[in-house]
Amino acid sequence: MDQRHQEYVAYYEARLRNVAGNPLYPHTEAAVRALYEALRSAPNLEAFREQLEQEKLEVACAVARVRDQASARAALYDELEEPVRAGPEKAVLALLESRAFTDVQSLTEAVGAIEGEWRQRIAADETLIEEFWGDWKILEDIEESEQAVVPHAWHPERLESVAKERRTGAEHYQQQTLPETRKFFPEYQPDYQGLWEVRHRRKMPLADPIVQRRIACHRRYRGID
Amino acid sequence: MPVDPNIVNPTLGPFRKMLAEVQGKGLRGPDVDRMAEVLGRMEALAQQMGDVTAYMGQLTQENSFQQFSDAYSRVLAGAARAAAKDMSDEELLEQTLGAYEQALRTHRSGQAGDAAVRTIATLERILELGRSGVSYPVFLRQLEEQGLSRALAGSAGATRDALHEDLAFAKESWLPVRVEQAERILAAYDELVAKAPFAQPDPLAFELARKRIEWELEPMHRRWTAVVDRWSYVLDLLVDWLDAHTSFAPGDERWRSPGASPAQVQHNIRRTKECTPGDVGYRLAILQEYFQLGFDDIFTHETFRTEYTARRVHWSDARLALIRETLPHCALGGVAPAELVARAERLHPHGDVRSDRGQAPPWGTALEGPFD
Repeated sequence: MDQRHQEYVAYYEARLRNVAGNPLYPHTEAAVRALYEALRSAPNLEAFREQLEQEKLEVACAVARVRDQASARAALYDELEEPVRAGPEKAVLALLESRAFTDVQSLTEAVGAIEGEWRQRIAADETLIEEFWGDWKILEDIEESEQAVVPHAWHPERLESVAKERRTGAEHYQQQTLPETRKFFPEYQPDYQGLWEVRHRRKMPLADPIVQRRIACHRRYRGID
Repeated sequence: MPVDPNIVNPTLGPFRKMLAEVQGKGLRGPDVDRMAEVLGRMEALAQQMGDVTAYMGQLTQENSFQQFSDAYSRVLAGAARAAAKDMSDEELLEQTLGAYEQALRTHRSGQAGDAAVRTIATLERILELGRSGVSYPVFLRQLEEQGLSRALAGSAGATRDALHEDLAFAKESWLPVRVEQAERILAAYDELVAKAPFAQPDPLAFELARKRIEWELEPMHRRWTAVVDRWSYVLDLLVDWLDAHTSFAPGDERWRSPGASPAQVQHNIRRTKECTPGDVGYRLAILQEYFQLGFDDIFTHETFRTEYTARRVHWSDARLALIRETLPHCALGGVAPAELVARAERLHPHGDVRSDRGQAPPWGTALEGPFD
């Protein structure tokens, strides 16, 4: 083995050490080890380059890394009960099961396409909770005007302000919020029942009856009910 | 009417530049044609659509940016492969260093953003190493062993300096949940460094640790903000109610909106006097229902003492004392006692607010309150 060959062996050994024994990288370790062993046992660098090209060993490393990354992220999101955020990771894993890649560029593009599609789905999934939580103060203002104990003489004025607030809320929702959201997500429908799922519910750190009441208030505010 | 050029030009500018660069280098082929086709579609939509949100939504739905980038990557990768095919190690090293030098120039100019600026020191070390006379494989090995390739891979704010900056910012902002978050992320980073073979944390392990910490603390941050917002409003309502009884009320913009007649001003003042007691009652009920906090609990609550110490409770101590004394009188049909009104008039306007508001002391200063 000449000196340059030895230098390349040392380089691939360093790459292997970066992932060896790391439980996040079982597939990567196997792929990098295969590359390292191929280089170590090659009679010379020219023979190694031919084997690298024929067996697509670098592509196998890239595929393995993508698989390990997606597995780790999917496991975390499953544990955190974030099924939508786990979606793109599981889609990438399904892709790797169903398609063999022979070049890194195709792999990058296929993964990028999945990530792009899911970015929109994640954004759509999180639209309602962010709007809803952001509207709580308006909902409290409305409830205050309706329920606070004030002299009768003020009731008409306060009820008128409530009606106006709701009219504005419904108009804004129908004429702006919904159409604007649908420009990005044409199928978008607010899913209030979905707010009870862990990923959304945890973002409203208050008791269930309060959330229940505010959901009803919000639907009315937007003119849905 | 086309979409506003002030929006279109900054959006499409980088894509126009990339296409021109590729064509300028004399590169040809189906991927270059694809770049031109996608860009042409984006330009045409900008002419056809008037609404900027609809335009951006259409580009998102058609996945135009990704499609253009994919084609651009294929063009560059193809050109690089063709150039590298018969290159010697020395030429490959030179080409690699040339790319790093180009990146360094861009990062130094600041055009690539703050995260890129943070990679300058790493790029300088890489270039120093590459110019030290080592061979290409030795250069590549040392990138691994010195953690430089990982430092670049995790460059999106994951360097220790950046994490320290995040922590310093959280402390300056006096947001305890954010401080805890920044401290835990930094600790996770250091723990991964200790375990790493070449003293650079694994980017994936760090990403997962960071996501978990941010996920865990998000509800706490939301709750903290929600508590502060609710008690702040109660204090403001009590200030308004007492001030509505003062001699300066008719000239105050809270009741004198621009162009309001004297009768309207009086109507507004009367509304505050008569309705605010009910509103305060409602807001106190909310505070109790949401967070199990009574009025007196506000002043000893961690959120209040933190906000007070951070000089973000803008009311002066004298005004806060007055707020506390106001509550028992702020009842349906109640009238503010003359003594309290006189005190409010003496305080207004400069004595209402603390002179050092917004000037937070160093993080770690012992929490204090107005009634300690």
